[in-house]
Amino acid sequence: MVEPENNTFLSPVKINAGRKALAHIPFELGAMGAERPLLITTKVLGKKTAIPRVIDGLRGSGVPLGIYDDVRDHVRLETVLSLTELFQDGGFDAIIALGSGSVMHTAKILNLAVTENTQDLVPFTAKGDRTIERLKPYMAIPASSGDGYETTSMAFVDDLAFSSQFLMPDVVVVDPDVFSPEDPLKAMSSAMSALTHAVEGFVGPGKNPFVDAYAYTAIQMIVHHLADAIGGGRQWKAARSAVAAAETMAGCVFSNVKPGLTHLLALAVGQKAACPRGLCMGILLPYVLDHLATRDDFFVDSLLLPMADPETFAITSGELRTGKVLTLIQELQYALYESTQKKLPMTLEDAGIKKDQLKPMAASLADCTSSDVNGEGCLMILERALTGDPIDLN
Amino acid sequence: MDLPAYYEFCCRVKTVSGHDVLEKIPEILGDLGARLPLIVTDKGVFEAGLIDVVTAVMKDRVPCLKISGGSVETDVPPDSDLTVVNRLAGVYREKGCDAIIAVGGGSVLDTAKGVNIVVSENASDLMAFTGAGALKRPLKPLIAIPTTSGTGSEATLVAVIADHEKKRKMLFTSYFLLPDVALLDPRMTLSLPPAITSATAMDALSHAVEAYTCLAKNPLSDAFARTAMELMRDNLFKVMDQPDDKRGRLSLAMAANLAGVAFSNAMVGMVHTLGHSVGAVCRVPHGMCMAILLPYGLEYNLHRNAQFTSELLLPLGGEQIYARIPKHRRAEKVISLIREWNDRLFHLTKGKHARCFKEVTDPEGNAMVPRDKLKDIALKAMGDGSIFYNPEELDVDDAMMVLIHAWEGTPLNRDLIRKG
Repeated sequence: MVEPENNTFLSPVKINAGRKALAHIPFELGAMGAERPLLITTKVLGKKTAIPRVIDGLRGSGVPLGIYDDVRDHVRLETVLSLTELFQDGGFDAIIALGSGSVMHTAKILNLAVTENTQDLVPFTAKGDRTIERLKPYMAIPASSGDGYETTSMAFVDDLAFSSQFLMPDVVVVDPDVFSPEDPLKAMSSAMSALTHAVEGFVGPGKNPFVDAYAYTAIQMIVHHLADAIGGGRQWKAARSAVAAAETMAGCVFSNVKPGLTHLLALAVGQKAACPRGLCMGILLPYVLDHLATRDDFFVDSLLLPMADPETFAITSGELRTGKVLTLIQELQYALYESTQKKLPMTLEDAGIKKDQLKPMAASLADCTSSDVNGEGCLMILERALTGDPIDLN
Repeated sequence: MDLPAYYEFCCRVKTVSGHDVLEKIPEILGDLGARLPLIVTDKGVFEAGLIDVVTAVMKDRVPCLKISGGSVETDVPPDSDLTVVNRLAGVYREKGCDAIIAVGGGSVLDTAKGVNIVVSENASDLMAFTGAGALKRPLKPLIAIPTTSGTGSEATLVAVIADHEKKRKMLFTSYFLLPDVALLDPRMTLSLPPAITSATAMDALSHAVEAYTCLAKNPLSDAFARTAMELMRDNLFKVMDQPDDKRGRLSLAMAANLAGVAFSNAMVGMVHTLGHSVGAVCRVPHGMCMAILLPYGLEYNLHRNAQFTSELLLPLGGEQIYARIPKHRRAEKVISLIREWNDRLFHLTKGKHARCFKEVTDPEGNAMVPRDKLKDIALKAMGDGSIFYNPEELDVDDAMMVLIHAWEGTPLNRDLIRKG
């Protein structure tokens, strides 16, 4: 195995996952010293079972809970600022975010604003001169599919970007009961973005034993449970919450490594694509891995262990592993394609990308790729993903 | 893949590892908003010169750091003690310290955690903070620097402080007790003698193996345990051959830390149940008990645990051995592999790494585990908390049976295990 000489790992996120996880909320709040949490969520989730379940989880524990359910899909600084006032006037001392994407971004930045007691957040952005320090207790409860940044150290509001490990939630509570059926393409986008983050941590040059452990588990859980989570069988809620736990772990991986090539390419593609960014990652992932497989600072073959099982891994000879890995990713994609009645985009063309858009995309990446892949390499990957060029698996 | 119905996982300590991480202490203190640390250690660590390594590095790097105004305290006893905790808290206040650096093993870290409660909460009576969750807010910055690769206590959220006056042990559990940062630097373990290296490594291995095979396992603790075992497989014997192999030492430190994370999230089973008891009755070092008992724990639980035990062959034996051994033989292979490790370690340490309890001797060469103590050990084991997480129920008769075999060094007769 790879043993890096120097590394740092930090994942402040405690994960409570599984049946009746909500019942542990009062204990977790107590352990963080939180007495009066403000829960923020969206109107849509408020109408579903999620909110009542959470309140049930807190009932009888005597925790006074404030609820704000007007977080919109697009994160706005305005919302954060009015929430800051609400938080302070209400005497709250902790934040619970229920939902995904915008709710989590809002919670992180709200936490910064109330801890620092300021309306001026610009100095705390990635480009600003203030560092973010320890914030108030913050618990996240995933209840829907998101953008992949939920449990990471990053947060975005309007055009401001924040990054600090203190933005990560202290506790993530994953309970199968809070999930409701949702658009499978949304769920897939969320899961593919998590899979990409985990895979890129696992194979990438930034890997270390901690990253490996989180990434391994996330990959294994997504590969084994995603189809059930989306398929809607009898056990779909358990599978859905396994995927949500995996998404949490992938967030911890992402926060400890540099963004990988698939992530960066998908950022560029996503701006022009007609589908969510996570689906672009899913399309690009096999081509990026194929491209990196020949390099000795990437370990694409090692993915076979979490993606398959120890048996398959051990009996597959070293030089065949990469091919097997790429097959498994494509098979996973194809199974999802079938289960969505062929609505899942499988190529960048399907995602609405035109050939003449690729060059500017590759050019925009030339100076920000962390994997030392040049613009030409990026363009080649994009061109192959555009039409779904078959991958030579040997 | 099967998932537990419910599980929790927390690995909140920032872990910084590498060949020069001690040099980062000033920067890390700065990040934590501290500049005047109290360094807590014990005599053994101090006399081995390890504190000099730490303080020299700090002075060289940041001359303005007021390290000389801080304090190095070296009188931590093997079982952390309330009087020492209170005395060190006094020093902390008197010198105006603002952080604690614990350099050493479990008792040093426990003591440091106790001091941290006293100084952060301004407590006069530690008793008020015992139990789970009595602490409600972050404590002062705490940096842990382990000096063996075994206990993994730099990753744990508990502290045990003995009140010798009132003859009681106080247990503290809180996420606020986790160190802020753990530093793994091979210079801290480079001079460990072979028998300590082997015993502490087997302690770490027992954490990983029991975390993976006992009842409270979860997918993340499994991953940490697996990685710990792989690192141990690839590095333990390298380091036994070349004690000054820095890369190997770092990997072992990492393995112990990962195993610590695994077991503090998944708990441990009968190897620890019996091991704690042997330690308490006969004063046998913990790592040695773990090394001897580990194959027996797997053997005893085999009828319940064949699946999990056989999975261990991949991280412990490597992919070739795993592929070569047929499925139904893998679990037994794991057990014999661990026995082989013990045997090799026995020879590499010229007999100091005992394979069975009758081989355990004190520094003067006297046997430490008289056979007639086994009954006391078995009885005492029944009160150990880890017994609840063992896959098969362990009663006192079976405990006695296991102990007799572990004393003699003979494999269990598995037909005689009471299957509950």
